Amino acid sequence: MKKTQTRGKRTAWLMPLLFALPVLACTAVAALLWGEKIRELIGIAVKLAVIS
Amino acid sequence: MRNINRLPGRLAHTTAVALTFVMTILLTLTALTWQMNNILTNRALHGRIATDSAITTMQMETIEKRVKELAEAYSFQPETAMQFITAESLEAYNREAVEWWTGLMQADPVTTPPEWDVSGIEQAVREDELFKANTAANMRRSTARDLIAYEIGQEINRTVLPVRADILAIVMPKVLQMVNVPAYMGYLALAPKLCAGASLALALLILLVMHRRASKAGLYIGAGLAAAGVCVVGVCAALGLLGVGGMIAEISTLLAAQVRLLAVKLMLNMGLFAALALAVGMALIGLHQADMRRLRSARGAQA
Repeated sequence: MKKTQTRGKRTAWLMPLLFALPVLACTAVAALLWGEKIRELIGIAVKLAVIS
Repeated sequence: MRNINRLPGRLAHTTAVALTFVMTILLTLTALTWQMNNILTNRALHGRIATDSAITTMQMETIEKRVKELAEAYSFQPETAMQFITAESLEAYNREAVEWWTGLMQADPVTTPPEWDVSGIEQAVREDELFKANTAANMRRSTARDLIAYEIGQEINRTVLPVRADILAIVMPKVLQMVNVPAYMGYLALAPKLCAGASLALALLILLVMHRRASKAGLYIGAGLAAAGVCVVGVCAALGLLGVGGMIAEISTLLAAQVRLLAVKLMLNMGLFAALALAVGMALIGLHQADMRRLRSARGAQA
């Protein structure tokens, strides 16, 4: 079987990753940019609201 | 089913890719909004968590410890107070507390949390023989009411609702003035259904764009479903890394236990969604691959 034919067969199985990667990349970027800030805000809210 | 005359061209495939990408995002949002809805409005779920037997046991132990401390300090039998604090009464109080805090996001919320009725405990302590023997007659009423029953009531309130209700009582009315929270809760309830409906519509569009070739459409729809499953796992992992459970555990073990139960339930739901989406998605891709294999074999045989 020619290489182009086998490559076409494999691509179909990898298509979910093709569509998931942009969403995962955005999630990773958002986590890197705002993750610490969000953790800080949640930490403050928890310390204010929760009784030990 | 097939539009026999025309095969989908480059434009059809490009459109299908764009539609599949949007469908992936919408399916991921369906899962996320469904769980956000569960967290903010599902009273039955929170009621089940609050009345879980492990949680009730932890609460009883904490309350019993405090009652024994007070019994030692003011000389009364701990059983005198503990007879009023049963697992059933604690579960009922937990349910009341859940009704209260989930109601904070509705219109006209009750900002004062429910309180445990300590009048029975106060009366029983005043009649306790050990207490009577060790406390002056003129001090019995105030001691039983202000130093024993009140403290036990506060301990029960703190154990069942380990949050600063006074802060919530101040903050919630202000938030409700600035933002129409009940309306947003209504939109949130609709969001999973809207996203799921839109995803279905996009799937049908993909089928049309692929000139009703079910196998080709199944490839894109399957890829979108499986991609949504992967995205849901990724987003859950990112949310897990926030470490909210750990932050709460540093302050309150009781609340952390409830949050952990909630997190497990939500992760199970998301895991189920992801597994189903992945399974159906890969099955649709598999069907397409089988179809292509069959076509290639048929062409090979003809050649």
